[in-house]
Amino acid sequence: MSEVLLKIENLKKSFGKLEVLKGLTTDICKGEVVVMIGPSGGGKSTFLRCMNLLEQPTKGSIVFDGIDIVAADEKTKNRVRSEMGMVFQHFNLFPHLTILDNITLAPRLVRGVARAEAEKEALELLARVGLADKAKAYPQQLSGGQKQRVAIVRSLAMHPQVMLFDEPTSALDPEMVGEVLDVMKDLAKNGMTMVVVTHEMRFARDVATRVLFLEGGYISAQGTPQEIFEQKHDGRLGEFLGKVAGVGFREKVRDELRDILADDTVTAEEVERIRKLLKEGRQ
Amino acid sequence: MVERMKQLVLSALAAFLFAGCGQPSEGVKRLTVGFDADFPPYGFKQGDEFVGFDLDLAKEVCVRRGWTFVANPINWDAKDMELGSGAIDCIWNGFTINGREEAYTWSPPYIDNSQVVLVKVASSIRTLADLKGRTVAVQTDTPVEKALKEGGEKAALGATFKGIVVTPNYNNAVMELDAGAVDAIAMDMGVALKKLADCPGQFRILDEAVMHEFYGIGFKKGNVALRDQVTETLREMVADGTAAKISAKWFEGANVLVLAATPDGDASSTPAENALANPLDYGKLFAGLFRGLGVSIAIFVLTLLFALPLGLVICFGRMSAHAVVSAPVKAFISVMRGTPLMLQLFFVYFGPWYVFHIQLAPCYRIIAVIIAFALNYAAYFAEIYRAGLEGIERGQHEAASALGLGPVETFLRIVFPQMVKRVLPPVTNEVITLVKDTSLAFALSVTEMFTVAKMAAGAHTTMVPFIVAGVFYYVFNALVAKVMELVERRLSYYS
Repeated sequence: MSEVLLKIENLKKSFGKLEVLKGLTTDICKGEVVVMIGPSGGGKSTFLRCMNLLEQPTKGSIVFDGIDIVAADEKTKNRVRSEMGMVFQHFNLFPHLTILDNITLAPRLVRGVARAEAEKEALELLARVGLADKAKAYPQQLSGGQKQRVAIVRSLAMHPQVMLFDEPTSALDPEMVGEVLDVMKDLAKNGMTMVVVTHEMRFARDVATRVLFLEGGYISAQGTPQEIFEQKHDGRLGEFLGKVAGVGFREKVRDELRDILADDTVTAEEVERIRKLLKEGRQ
Repeated sequence: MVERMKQLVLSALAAFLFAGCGQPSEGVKRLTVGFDADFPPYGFKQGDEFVGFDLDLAKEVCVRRGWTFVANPINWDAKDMELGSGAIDCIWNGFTINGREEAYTWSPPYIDNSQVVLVKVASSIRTLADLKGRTVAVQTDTPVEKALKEGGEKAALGATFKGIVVTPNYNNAVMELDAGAVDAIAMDMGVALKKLADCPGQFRILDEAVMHEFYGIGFKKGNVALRDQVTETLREMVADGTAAKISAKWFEGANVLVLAATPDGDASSTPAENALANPLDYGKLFAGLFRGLGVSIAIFVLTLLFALPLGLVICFGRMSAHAVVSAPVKAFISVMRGTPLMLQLFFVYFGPWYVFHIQLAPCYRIIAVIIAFALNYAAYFAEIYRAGLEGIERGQHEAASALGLGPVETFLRIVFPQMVKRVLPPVTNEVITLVKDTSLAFALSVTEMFTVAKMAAGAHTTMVPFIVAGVFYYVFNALVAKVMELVERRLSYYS
């Protein structure tokens, strides 16, 4: 087993009287891609937001770099946050700054990187996600998918030890989901430690090294994608996967259509492919 | 039942709406007397009623003539518009003839009103010569103000003073004297006597008078018929002793009337020193208005300089999570927004004297204006800022936090720039209001542009200065609006 990055023990979080997390324990190891799935209100997002202390846990501990960050002071918390990247559902880019400034602000202010150096790296990262030409643009001039790619780059520029993704594709138009997932797959391939909350089951199946099923405030099941997706399950997990199977089918059709529409022509053979796919889905 | 109620309410409403603007009932003439309700003992408010020496005289005239008497308190600065428009029939209110001879159709002078000097009992000032190097208050738009400042032999006396403070009314002048901000007041004898009677042992009047002048009743230029009717009845009242009785009631038993029972007994109404014709000099008017504009701009700039950042501090206090901080700040904002700015000006300026008995230094006047304006506007700005801050999405704070930015960096780099853009339109509104609000500074006798216009309009019985001042304000505001528009456009690089 590789090195443990985040050691989470008996984590609880309440909002007023409502207990959302009821005692979660897990280790996030270096290089892991942990995908959290589960029904709405099950605590996925809250758990993720507790990891970088956007939400202060009510109880329990998170050990990062040898210190319990739950009990740390504000200054330490800020330092810890700067070492974890976070990508939000609604991007949360800074509308008054150019893309380049969005990316270089934190490295310059928090890590003390010189402007020239920060900009050089930002441009390299932008090139990696295919947005080098947008450096001087403002967020409002970008599409949703482009914004989310910039948000990912903004986090990467801080050289985080782990990246947290909070439903990164949920606010996107369907045709833009792919470009964001591609960037995330690329990150995973390069060994980035990632914790992802998502409804994209295909991504979970293809990219995750471990899948957590959160439900009712607990981790009620976990395992490799094969264990989760390819075995029969009883109870809540079975029920949940039954429901999202349809979702998986939709994704499959969507990806197929994307393929077909990539060029300007639709051949008879491609039409046949779709017809066959839809027929399968109906059964 | 419901119908009758409805009728009652409607007729009451109609009575309320049309009282004072409907025609008097058939055959009954109405005499509407315009007066400054801050001018005891000639006309003032006592309890719910307007009373005074002049009003009693007017009432008696109406009784004898079978007219309906209406007492109409007016804004002194608007007296010419009131009379010219026919809203009032005459100005009957310790109204000085001297210097205004050509502007109205006058009754014969009925009171000799010397302009005297009021000082504190303990003052070392005994003669007019002692006023050298002292600060003297006068009420705005009075003949004594004009005489001391503008022309004739009295200007030489005025020139020996350290300064002349022009106050909006006599009450302010007395407050200034009380607080030690001025050393003396040059004022009407009648008002001075009343003050002496009201506050025994506090003030005294110099034996030497500054100048002599006469009171008359002013009618709209050309309204000779009404003037003659009123004069005739007044002379009857003098003849049968009723007028003397009314005088005794208001002037501690004295008869101040100089009107004779027959026209040959009248006093001369035009002492030589004030007989100078007084045409409006446009060069002087513009020079005066520009000087006033300078003061207005100074108040405007200094107020913004202090109020804009102070508003942010107050905003933070208001948004504080600790009730110890937020509760008093909330109360402060509530008071600042819930009371008139003029009252706040009085409080800031006179407060130190009336609360702590600190003598007011002369330079404190303009400082008090800036303090009161800055506090008032900061309260408004604070609420605007708060709305701007609360409108910024939570996600912006979270993203900054997630990147490791501290609270100060987050505010300066992320929140503040976005807030500025959001609050610009409402702040522009306030700034434009401020341009016009600068005219309130006259409550503390600071002569900004509008006061200059009022004085010129009063001195020359013309509306031209008001119109010129209006144009100046408009241009000033148009410039402000243009600047704000440019700033707004500069910030529109993102939406």
